[in-house]
Amino acid sequence: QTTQTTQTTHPHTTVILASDQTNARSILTYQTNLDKITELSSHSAMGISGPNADLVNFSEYISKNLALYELSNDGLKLSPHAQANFCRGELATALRKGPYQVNIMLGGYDTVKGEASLYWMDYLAALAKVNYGAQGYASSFCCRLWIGI
Amino acid sequence: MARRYDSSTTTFSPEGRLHQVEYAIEAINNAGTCVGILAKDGVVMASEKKVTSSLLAPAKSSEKTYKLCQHAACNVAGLTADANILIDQARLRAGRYAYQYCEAIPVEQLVEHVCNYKQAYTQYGGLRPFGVAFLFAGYDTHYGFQLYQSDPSGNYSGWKATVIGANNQAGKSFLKNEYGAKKEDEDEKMKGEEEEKSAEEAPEASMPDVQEALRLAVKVLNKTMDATASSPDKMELFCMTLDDDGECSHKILSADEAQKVIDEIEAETAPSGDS
Repeated sequence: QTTQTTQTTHPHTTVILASDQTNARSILTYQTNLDKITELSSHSAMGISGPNADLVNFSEYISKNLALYELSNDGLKLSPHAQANFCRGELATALRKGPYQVNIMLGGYDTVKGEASLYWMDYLAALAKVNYGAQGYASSFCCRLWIGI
Repeated sequence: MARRYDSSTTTFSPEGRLHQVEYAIEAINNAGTCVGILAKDGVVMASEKKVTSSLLAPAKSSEKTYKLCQHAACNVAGLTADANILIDQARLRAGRYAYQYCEAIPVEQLVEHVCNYKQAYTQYGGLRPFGVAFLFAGYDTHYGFQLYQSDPSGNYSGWKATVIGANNQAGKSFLKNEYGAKKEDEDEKMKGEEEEKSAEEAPEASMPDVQEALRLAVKVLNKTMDATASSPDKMELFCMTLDDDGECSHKILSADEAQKVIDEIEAETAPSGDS
C-alpha cells in the first residue's frame, strides 16, 4: 500500500491515498479487486491493510461509528485529526484484548481549518501525523524514493 | 385531584403531565436569578448571590459559576447539591470526549449529554428529578459562542439571551425589549430610515459586544432582584471570551470591575440630574 501527498507551500489542501487490490494468502490469490480504501466521511478516507477479516471488520466498525456521529450530531463532521485519534483509540483498547492486525493510512480534509492531513497508524496503535507515508511492502520502495524529499 | 399521580416521577397523570418534573421546575423559581447573554465576542452570565447568613465562611469558590472544561462553563439555579452531581457528569463527559477524539467537545453535545442524564431521572428508577436549571456558555469552532438553557425535564434550547431562577419572567420580558435595541443617538438617527427597513426585513436584534452585554445583564438583575441598590457583593458577573491565542478565557469580574459596570448603568439612567 502506498500513499503520497502533493506538496504546496502553505497549508496542504490535498491528500492522495493509493493502494493495491490483492486479497491473497500463501499460494492462493482470492481476489484482485478488493477495495482497501474505506470512505469515512465526505472529506476523509482510510487505506487499510491486513488479514481480510480484520480489514473488513475494523474498517466497517470505524466507518459506521463515524456515520453514527454525523447522524447523532446534526451533520457535524469530525475532523481528520479527531477521526484518526478515535481510530487509534479503538486499536489501543483492543490491543490487549483481541488486537486488530491492521495497518492504516488515514487522510482527510478539515473543512473548518481548511487544510488536509495524513496519518500513519499501525496495528500496535501507534499514530503519527505525516506528509507522506506507506504501509506494507510498498514502504520498502517508497521510503527510499522519499529520502531527501 | 392530581395528588394520586404526584409521587412517582415515572407516572403520567391522566392529563398527560409529569407532576414531579413540574414541581422540580417550580423549585428553581425560588433560586437566585441567573442571566445569560450572547455577545458578538463572547458570552456573559450574571447571577444573584443569595447571602443567607453573615456567619457563613467566605466562599472559596463560586456557588453559581462552574468551569466544565477549557471552552465551556455553566451557571446554576436550584439545589446546589443536585447541581454538583450534574457538573461532575459534564466534566467527565468533556474529558472523555477529549480522550477519545483529542478535540474539544462541541458545546451542544456537552449540553445534550447532561440533559440526557437528567431525563433518565424522569423516566427510570423511581428517583426524583434534579432540582437544577443550568445556563451553559461555551465556544467551539463549529458554531462559535453559544448559550444554552436546560431544566429538570432534560429539555434544552439555545438562546441569544435568557433568564432562569427567581423572577425570570420579568427578566425575560425586559430582555425582549432591550436585547439588541439600538440606542438613540445622532448617528443612529441619520441612518434612521435604513435601520427601519432592515429591522423589518431582519427581525433579528443586533448582537451586543461583551461590555454592552455585561451592562444589560446587570440591568436585568436590577429588575429581578428585590434590592433597591445594586452592589458587587449581591451579584456575580462572569464572561467568556477568546484571548489573543484563540483560547477561551473564563473570567469572574472582581468587585472593582463589577462596580465599574454598575456605575456605568447608574450614569446612564440618571443623565442630567440636579447639578
